[in-house]
Amino acid sequence: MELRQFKTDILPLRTRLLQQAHTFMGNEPDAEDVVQEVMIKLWNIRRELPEYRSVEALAVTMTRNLCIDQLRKRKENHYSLEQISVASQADNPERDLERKDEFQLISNIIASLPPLQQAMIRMKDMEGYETEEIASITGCQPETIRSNLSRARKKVREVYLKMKLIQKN
Amino acid sequence: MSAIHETLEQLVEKYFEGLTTCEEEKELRRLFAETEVPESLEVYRPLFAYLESESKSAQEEHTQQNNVSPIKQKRFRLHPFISIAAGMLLILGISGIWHTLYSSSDAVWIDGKRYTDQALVQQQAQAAFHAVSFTEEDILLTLFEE
Repeated sequence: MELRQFKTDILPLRTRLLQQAHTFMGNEPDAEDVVQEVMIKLWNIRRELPEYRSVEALAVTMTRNLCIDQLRKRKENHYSLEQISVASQADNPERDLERKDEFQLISNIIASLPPLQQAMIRMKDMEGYETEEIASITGCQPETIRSNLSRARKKVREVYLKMKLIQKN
Repeated sequence: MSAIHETLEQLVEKYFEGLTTCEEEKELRRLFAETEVPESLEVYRPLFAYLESESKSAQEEHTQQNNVSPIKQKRFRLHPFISIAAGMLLILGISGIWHTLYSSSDAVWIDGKRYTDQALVQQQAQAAFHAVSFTEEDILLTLFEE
């Protein structure tokens, strides 16, 4: 399934999913984030979609599950700086390769971001999608994608710089 | 400050604002990997090196996925044919049984074999009726039996 077919088959489900997510999350921005994430997930499994009996049912289930996840995370909040730092050292106790260590640290920081921000960085920085393409896939405005992406990158920078400062001291 | 450093600083600024294109990001990663960068940007070197390595492995994965996809599609396309074949077998089976049981109304089974010959069927039927029928004499005998 390519972008054109994805747009005609999947994007029309967006309004319904948005309503469903709104019921769960109770506000527009959070519902929008959940639906963007669902769309990205559906895009990532686009090759398997023809094997599903009802993509709509799949999308509805994914939306519901993501909403529940998000509501749970609201309580827990994400990894703290200490957790990221500990994880990074535990994975690489001897600190033999500084580069490897840095990569592990950055990877941990990205993993600690909210799922939608992780997805933005993965799609733009790693998989090479343009902002407009991500906007087409998620069915939202390029400006929304740009702002989410910017938030994600700035968060990585902020946490990374903090971590470096902690390591220095 | 050299022109390239100025460009680099502007690109980094654009990058964090989410305003760079994929092409510009590629260039950014290349510059960080291959050139001297201003002291203030040195701290970002591992970040762009990490993104470069992840981007490479994502592209390799993508190529691999494209290579395996025809097999997946083939397996998927086979599925309806199997369903059709199974459906046809089922219909043939049911119609075979139906045909055997109900196609001819006059038939007789002798020692597990089926005969449809009209004369034989009548003869066998009469013999069967005869075996279970009563004559008037049989009835009287049954009634007055002690």
